[in-house]
Amino acid sequence: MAGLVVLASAVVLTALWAMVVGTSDIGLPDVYRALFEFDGSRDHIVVTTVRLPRILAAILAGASLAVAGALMQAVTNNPLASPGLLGVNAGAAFAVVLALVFLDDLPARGYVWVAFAGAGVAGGLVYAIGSIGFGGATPLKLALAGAVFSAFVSAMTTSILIFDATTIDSIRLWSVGSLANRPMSNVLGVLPYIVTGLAAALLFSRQITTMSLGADVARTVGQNLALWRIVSGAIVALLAGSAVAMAGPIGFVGLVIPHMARMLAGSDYRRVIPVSALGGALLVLLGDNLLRAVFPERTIPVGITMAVLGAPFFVYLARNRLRGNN
Amino acid sequence: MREFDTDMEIALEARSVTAGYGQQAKVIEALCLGIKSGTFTVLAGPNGSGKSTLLKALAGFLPLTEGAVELQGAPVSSFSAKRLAQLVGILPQGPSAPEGLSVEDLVRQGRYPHRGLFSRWTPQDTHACRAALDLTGLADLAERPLDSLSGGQKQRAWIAMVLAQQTPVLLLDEPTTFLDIAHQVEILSLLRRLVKENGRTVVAVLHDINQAAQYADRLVLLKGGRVKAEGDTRSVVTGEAMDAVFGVRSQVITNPVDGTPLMLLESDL
Repeated sequence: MAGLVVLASAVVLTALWAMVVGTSDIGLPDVYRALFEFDGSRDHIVVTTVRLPRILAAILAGASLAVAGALMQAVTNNPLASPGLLGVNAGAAFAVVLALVFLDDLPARGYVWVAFAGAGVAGGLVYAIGSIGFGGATPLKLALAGAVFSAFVSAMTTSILIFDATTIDSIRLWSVGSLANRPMSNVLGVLPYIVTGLAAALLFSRQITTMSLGADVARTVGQNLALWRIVSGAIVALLAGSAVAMAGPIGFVGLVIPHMARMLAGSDYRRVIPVSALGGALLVLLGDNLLRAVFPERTIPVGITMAVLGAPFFVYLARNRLRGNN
Repeated sequence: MREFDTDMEIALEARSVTAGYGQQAKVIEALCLGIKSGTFTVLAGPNGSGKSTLLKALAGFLPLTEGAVELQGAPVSSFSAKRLAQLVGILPQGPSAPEGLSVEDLVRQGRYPHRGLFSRWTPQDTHACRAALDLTGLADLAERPLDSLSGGQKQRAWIAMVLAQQTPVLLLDEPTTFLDIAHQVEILSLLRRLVKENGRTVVAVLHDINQAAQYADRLVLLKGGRVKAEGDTRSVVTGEAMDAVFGVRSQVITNPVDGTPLMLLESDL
């Protein structure tokens, strides 16, 4: 409980700091006035239409990707499972790009549903491919299936974006994971889905804990595994799809944070899920704003920052945690 | 304290059951067996004789090709997974759980079938877990992570989880394999106490015929997916039966310690 308070305070403090980071020099008192005594000045407009949505997007994307990763690791009993590595993000992004190019008159909120479908289909496909052959969906087979699927689908996404001359730069940036220039409407559009997904994950956290203990425990105590795998899969598609529709495929949050959450909170998902949500929000918020603070003139997509931070952790994980599992 | 009624004479019944896996569709074939309530029954037989398959079929874990397994007069396939887990507890062979999980956390999982979707932890849940930990002698180790326990303690922790389910019937697949002799005896006397003191029905797959004769009430010998002999341990443990089922020559004498049958192998030296 104390840990949750500390994490939540860290998120709030980082969000306050992120409010004053940027090319315009705006202090905290101005941020306060912009939020509560809005006067239409340029600074106030920057705060409410540029910085606030970006910060909210970082918090929501981080929380949903981390919780989606925690659920995936629980369902598959696989320390490498995450929306990034198992192709769920890539699938959602590919679906959104297909819809952008081929469905001209899709209303803005339709893209979220396209992303859900892409995330769900990708997750199901990778799980099916990874389960073929002896031993079912072992960590290694699942990770390989995810890597191959991600590489293929990301290549398709990139080639569509390259050959489609009408694609604007912001979409190119989005396709590697970016929080820049998200309009508030965009953020508020996915908010209900993310809140629903996070609430469902918390509500079912006891069932998720039982699932995470492996098929031996789950079957012995009479858990309907097929049902709970589908429920968890739907929550993952909802969370990862929303995050991707809003901020593109940001990797590694969903892999790194659930591990740290289990190190801090143990194996009970009633604690792992809230810690993951706050931890994911904090990591993406920090990652996005550290770069903005250091290189104020450049726009470096947060997806790239996460890859740089996440790759060494991935190596650590592969060398240490996986050894005991194979 | 007897917690379970044993007025139903047959707790679990296999009616000409044929079952297997994929390519090997007939690991057990047309097998008929009644498990008597309030007894400790041991399943024994050579490797590949279908002991584990029969246990899984009895637990309703295996789709049957033919026949039916009946629990309380209804086929097990008609029960939901949750309802079945309130009536039959099964311990798989060599179960695994994530390292770092504490004994208590594992045992608490045994309450899963008794809890509703959003229901809270109740005093009955606490009571059941405490009783399971006491019966298995693990009360002092409740906080310890599983991977810090010895093989025997770990096996008892798993049994405690199944006991927390408070099922009248317990099925255990090779609960003593890989344990040293002291831990084997510990598990076997626990199973016997569960039958004699709590009135549970226990079915276990064991390899040691003499242990079965000492601790169990009934013995079922399987070979090639069929029942070769079944009955009181005294009537089943005979030299002819051992030869027919295992193909080993032996003499059976009366154990001078407790009067149970004792099988002595004839060496070919």
